[in-house]
Amino acid sequence: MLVSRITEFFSSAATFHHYQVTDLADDIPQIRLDPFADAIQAAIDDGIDIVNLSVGIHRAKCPGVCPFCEAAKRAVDAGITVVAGSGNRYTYAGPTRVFCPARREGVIAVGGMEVHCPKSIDIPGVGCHSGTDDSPGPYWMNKRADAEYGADLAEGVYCGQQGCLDDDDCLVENTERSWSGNVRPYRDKPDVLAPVHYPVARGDGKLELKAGTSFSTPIVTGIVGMVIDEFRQETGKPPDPAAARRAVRESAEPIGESELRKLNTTRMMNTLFPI
Amino acid sequence: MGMARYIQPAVRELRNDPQAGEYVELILVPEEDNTDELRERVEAVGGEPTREITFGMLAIEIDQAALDELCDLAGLKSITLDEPMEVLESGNPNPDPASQN
Repeated sequence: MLVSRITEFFSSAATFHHYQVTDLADDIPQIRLDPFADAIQAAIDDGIDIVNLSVGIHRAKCPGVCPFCEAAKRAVDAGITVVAGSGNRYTYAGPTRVFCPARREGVIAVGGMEVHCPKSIDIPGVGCHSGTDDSPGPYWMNKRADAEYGADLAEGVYCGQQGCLDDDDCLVENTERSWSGNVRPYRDKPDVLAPVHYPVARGDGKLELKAGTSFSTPIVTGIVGMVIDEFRQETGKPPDPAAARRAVRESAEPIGESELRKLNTTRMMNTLFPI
Repeated sequence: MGMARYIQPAVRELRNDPQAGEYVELILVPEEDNTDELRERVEAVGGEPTREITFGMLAIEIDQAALDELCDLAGLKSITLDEPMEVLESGNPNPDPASQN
């Protein structure tokens, strides 16, 4: 439901189809091939424009032909733009690269990025308004050692992405960086990065900060879906998946000094609709 | 003699060190959608098709001792274990923020 909420935020005018591929009652939902392949076939039959896959599996050295990649290929071949999470580093022990089916050629692979706000939470009235009530303040986390995952944990002050109280431009104050939980690249993937954190209020009144490419992927899906809709209104049909992926890649902006890039909606629109 | 474009490393390990009498569940992705023909070829090397999956894919069960012959079958894109995907939300091992709003 969180994933749907994120996609709907960016594509509020879209018609959404949900395909169940797992038992939601399970503590750790797993997606078996059979329901996944059936869901992809159903999406093809329903004439879906874009599919969000906040799921994946690490398959060492898969060149994009494993069963999950094959199902994604069928969707792309049918004209569906497929957006898939590139994976989370902590899901498996040992080094991991981009997960399947994100590594399938033609699929838009999405990694994670973190957006930091350097404004101190100790200064009253300054900082991003990110609270669930009227109290201002960004989300921030302390770095602490963890025996299982080591010391490389999230740290710093995160922008709540709901605006700043002072008159400064929030975008000027933001600092972006690649998420520490990203998997290693595979060939030229991930194609683009998007914010990876999603705060969730718990029943005890505290906040849990979820993180994973499950949450960055629907941001891209929602935005690309919005652009696809604009394209359809202009031309009468959606762009083919290769054009959509090319537009995402060519329009993306670098993050800091790295080669990794974040989505730029305006430039993507201009790429698909050259002036 | 052909070979699948991708044989998952875990399957290769079983092939290299098979335990005769121990069975493994696999998924085959063929180059061409011809399930009947694929079933026959799997059965010819000692495998047992267990279910057909959308897009012409086939789930099988096979004795590890027969993996050598299976992996040498022509016309396969991939041979992988029958294992599920994960939901990609568990990437943060430290979910509790230090400051609460």
